[in-house]
Amino acid sequence: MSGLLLQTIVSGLTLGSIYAIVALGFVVIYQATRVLNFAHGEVLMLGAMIGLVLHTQVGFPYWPTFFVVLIAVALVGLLVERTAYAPLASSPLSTVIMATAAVGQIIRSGVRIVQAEQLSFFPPMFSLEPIVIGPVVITRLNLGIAAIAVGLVAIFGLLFYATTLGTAMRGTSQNPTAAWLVGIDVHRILSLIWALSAALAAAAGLLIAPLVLVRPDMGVIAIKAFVGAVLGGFNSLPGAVVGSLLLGVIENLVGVFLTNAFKDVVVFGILIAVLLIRPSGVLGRPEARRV
Amino acid sequence: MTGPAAARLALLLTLGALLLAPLWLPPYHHYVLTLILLNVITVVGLALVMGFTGLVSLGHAGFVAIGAYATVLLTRAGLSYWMALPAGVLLSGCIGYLIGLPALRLQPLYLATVTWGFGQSVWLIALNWVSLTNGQNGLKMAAPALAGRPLAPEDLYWPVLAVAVGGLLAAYRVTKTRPGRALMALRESEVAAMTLGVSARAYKTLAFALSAIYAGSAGGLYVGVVRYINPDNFPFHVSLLYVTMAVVGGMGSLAGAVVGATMLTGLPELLRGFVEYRELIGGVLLLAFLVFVPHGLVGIFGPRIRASHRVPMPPQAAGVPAPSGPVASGDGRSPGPGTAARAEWLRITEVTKTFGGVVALDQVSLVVAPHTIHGLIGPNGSGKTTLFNVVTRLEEPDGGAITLGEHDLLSCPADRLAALGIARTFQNLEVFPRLTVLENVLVGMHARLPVTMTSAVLGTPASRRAEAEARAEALRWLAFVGFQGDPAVPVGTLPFARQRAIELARALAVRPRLLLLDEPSAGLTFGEVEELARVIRRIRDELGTTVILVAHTMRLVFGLCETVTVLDHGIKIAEGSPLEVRRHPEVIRAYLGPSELPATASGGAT
Repeated sequence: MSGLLLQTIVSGLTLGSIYAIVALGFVVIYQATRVLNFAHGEVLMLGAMIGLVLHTQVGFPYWPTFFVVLIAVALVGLLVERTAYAPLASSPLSTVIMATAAVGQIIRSGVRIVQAEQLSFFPPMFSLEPIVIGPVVITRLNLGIAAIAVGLVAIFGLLFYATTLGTAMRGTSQNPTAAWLVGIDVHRILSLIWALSAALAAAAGLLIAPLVLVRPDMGVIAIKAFVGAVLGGFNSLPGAVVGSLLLGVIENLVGVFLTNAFKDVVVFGILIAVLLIRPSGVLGRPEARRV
Repeated sequence: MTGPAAARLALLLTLGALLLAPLWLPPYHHYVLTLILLNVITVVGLALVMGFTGLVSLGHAGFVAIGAYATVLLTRAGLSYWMALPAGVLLSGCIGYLIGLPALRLQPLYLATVTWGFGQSVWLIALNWVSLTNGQNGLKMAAPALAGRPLAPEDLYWPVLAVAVGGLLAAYRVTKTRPGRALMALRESEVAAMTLGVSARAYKTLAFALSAIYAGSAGGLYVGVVRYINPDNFPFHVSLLYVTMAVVGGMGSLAGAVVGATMLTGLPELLRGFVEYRELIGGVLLLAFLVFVPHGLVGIFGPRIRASHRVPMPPQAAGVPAPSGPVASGDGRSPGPGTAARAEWLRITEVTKTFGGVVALDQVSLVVAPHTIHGLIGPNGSGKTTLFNVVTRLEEPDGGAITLGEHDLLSCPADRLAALGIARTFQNLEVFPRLTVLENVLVGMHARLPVTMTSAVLGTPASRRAEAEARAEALRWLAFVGFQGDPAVPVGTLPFARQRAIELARALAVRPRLLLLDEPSAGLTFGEVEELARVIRRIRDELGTTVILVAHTMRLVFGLCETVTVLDHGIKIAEGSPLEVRRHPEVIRAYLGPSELPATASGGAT
């Protein structure tokens, strides 16, 4: 395998690990509410933006910034749930989807008004010193980002699959009425899910902030994480993670070997192809149709 | 002056004002009016997809962009504007058709995403394919010429106005006739629409193609006005703005599309200087309307508008059911190929259906004689509804064969059965709640009404006549089931028993030779069950229709049916005349449980 190919795959996996965190945020809300949160990308951007302002403009210390951002954005997630989901819980799904898109637009244009055009990079959390592993060169920063991302996915997986709270969340996603009947506070669980999803998005925003310009429309990244989740299977958490990693690699391969300007178009092409050929994703289970 | 007349006058006055607008409007306002009309075109198209069909599109700016770019590029390649414009519209329509394809099997979530990804892709291509689109710098276009004379931008007002008015008229005609009802039926209950012969595939893709034609026209006309184009015209928030216009005006209504497009195009243009706040205001408006005014500005006046279009019931509807059923009138009974007079047996042979590990139907065989009422009973979960779903092709059996006469039903998709003369009702009632009573029944005639999308848009005399006859027939079906009331109210507002009656009328409107009734008596009062029994008997005797009846009301089953089949846990345990079945030991055991409990269980099977 050529060095360039291997290098491309490795950096694709780094990118994919960030997508995985974003995808988890999408999927957990989808599983609980069947809603696709179109504001997810803007929540991600908000995480990066608050972090940037807090650290570089207010002068807040580096690592504490992360915690403050996660909590602040989790609260934003709650707010989104209260404004765009809860009042519309009994409306058609398409209405809720539009409402989340509206919230996304409000966040995006709001940030644009407040932050005008002060674009900048978030200082990297690890050094840019390269590490050479065989034919592959990777910076400490990329390695660290990937490690944190993998750690977050693992923690999230444990929370969801190995704790009582996680069981309550899964129960609520599968059948809210039954969950309510066995004594689960469904409203609280739903709020928690939205907050958690937002915190995941914020974490992804902070992780990617040193790599891309922090600007109001950086939320587009979330679209790709979404494609990753579709690729892996939207109704399966492990599927979403694997799909995101896969997409990161595909995107990098396309960018390096085919076309950089159109790699996003190729990504959407993949999305439509997957939806047409195998709507339940590569790893997902087909969903039963009810009559 | 009352409703329709006043509405007609208002429309004429508006049209007059629009025709005279260039004479009295200052140039800038005239330009804004042109933009309003362009957005009206796009949003009317969007309303066809979102409001009427219930599919979300978050990428309509992509269709506008395709129309616009195609028009510019073709004129730059030497074509005249008047040739390039239709070509661009056609291209947009074709791509809309392709984008509509995934709509067939996808949940709203995925469809929203596909359209979103599509809009984003068009924008990215416009931005990055520099050799074609000149990227961010955009493309200029020569002024469209007419008879060799280049036109001023304000001259384009006329074609824009013509397309807007024509587009509205076409959309109005579609929504008031067979194709529009099919779209709305799919929105309300796809399953029920399919059993009535509406092809989800054909209509959803058609809706998207039509919608893209509207958007593409707006795009092509827009470049005719401004003669310049760049990707900034089509980012995601523009798609969302179209959605906002549809929602603010009122989804599911053409008037809403007009109101929404007018308000949200006009206001921002007049409130200049707040450019950076426009997106924010748009987002807030969209959210606020979705939450607080879900039916939009037009919806506020909705009930009054509806009340003014009352349809009087024919006189025979009052009191007793019509003496002359729908059969006596019209062209006799010719539901699809063959006539009902022909004795066609339904043969279900060794049909098996499993869900995961559960065997819902285990080698069930059943023969139903023509012109009979065949009862199907069994405890809950015995497989009755599954059998109905398998026969009506909503569930694919794991094995077995089903034939009606010489037709192999298993080789027919669900939406072809109506044409073969098979209709059903649903245990959980699948009416189209937001459609009127009359429209519900009219959807039942979908498979045999000769009104296509084209003939509806053109308003051909034949299609008008067919529609008028269908309305008359629908009223007769309503009378047949004993419906008394206003056929112009939405079905969702009526009490349960009436909704059941309307669902039955809708199934009868198929003119079925085989009718499957899934617990038609559930939730009805004693008197209503009596009335139902009378109607079912008339369906067999007067219409010659074969009926399969699932019911828990034993009085109904044993009183009506020639033959009764009993299912238990997916297995046929008994079959015969009501008397035989009632005494069958297996049946007693299935209903009353093991024999230890004979005393407490007596009379339980009612």
